[in-house]
Amino acid sequence: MASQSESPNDRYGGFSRFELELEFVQCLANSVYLNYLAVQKTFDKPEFVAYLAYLQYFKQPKYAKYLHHPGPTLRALELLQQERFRQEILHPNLVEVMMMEGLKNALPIKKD
Amino acid sequence: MDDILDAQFQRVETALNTLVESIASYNPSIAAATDLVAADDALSSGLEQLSQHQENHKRIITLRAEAEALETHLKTSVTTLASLRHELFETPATALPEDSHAVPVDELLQYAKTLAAYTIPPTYREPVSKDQDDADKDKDNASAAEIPSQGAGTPAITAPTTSVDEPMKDAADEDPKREVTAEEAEWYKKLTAGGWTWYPWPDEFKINSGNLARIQELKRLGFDPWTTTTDVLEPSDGQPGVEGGQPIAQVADMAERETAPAGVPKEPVVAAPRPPEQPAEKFSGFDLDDDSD
Repeated sequence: MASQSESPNDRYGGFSRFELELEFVQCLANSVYLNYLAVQKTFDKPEFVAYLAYLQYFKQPKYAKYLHHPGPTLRALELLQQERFRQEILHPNLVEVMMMEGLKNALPIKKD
Repeated sequence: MDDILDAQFQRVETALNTLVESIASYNPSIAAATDLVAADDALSSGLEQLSQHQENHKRIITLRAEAEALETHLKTSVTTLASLRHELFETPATALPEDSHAVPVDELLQYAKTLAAYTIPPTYREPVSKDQDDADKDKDNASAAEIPSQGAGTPAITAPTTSVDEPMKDAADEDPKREVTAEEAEWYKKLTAGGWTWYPWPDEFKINSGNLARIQELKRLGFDPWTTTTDVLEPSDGQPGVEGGQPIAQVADMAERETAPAGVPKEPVVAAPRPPEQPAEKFSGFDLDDDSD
């Protein structure tokens, strides 16, 4: 494996590819954003679907440790791999359900 | 000891008697007097011995007590040790699964520290003790009756500040198309009273002020992201809301570079994408929330 030499061509807008992919994948945790993407018909593009499949490398611990919200992010990523989910996220009801699910899961488990 | 003293007393008494007899018979004998003196000396030394004896006795008693205390202490220590050892052997050792790899403690703590800032909203409070909880629960159940009418359209969360274990379990048991329960609306109202909402993911503001949005801005201004950095943006240009773009175009461009340098994490990519330019639109997805009050 060649050493990682940072030529100027590796940076997009001044940011490395990893930085931008990290930012994007974390945005996926937001269910409203997913709905927005669906409305924009981005999920209809096979290239984009392939990109989502590629993004699954974030499941590995050495990349997942950079996520600020690993739970919702990885869950969304997983769901996005399924065709049915990409279609159903168009419905606002699912967006709300996911939002409530996320909020509920964010609370610590109550011990008594 | 008593016998010794008794003997000495006897001696003294005898000597005294002898002397007195000898004096009474008008035949004072010096020897008797000397005997008396000697007997008296013996008595004195006997008394000294007695005091010594008593001191020794006291010391013996103290030492005995100390010895007993130490022995008890030793016994309890050994008992504790035995019980601990027993407990230790009974604790089952955790068998790590084979596919887990060791994580350095520092790294784990660092990760936890990083996550902590994003995990729960700042207004979260630990549940208080049970008695107070019951009092709160009664109070909240009374006020919660008014909430359902308003809470219908609001995405909301279960209240952590009141002990609502049962309602929470009930809510979890409901079917996936669950309605907002009364308790859920309660805490959400408290949360929004602070003036801002919180979600466990980046919200619209964060997305629109992130790097991807800035690159969108860069493109809008006509710069080529491959050759320029976002430093060319004036600070005012990067403001969200001025031109809050959706980050798709940037990602699509990055997706072009699937033939990446070797250092990048790789899975074989299916397509060689050549995505069309996306129109830069303001990310208005959150307008959904305007429906609710």
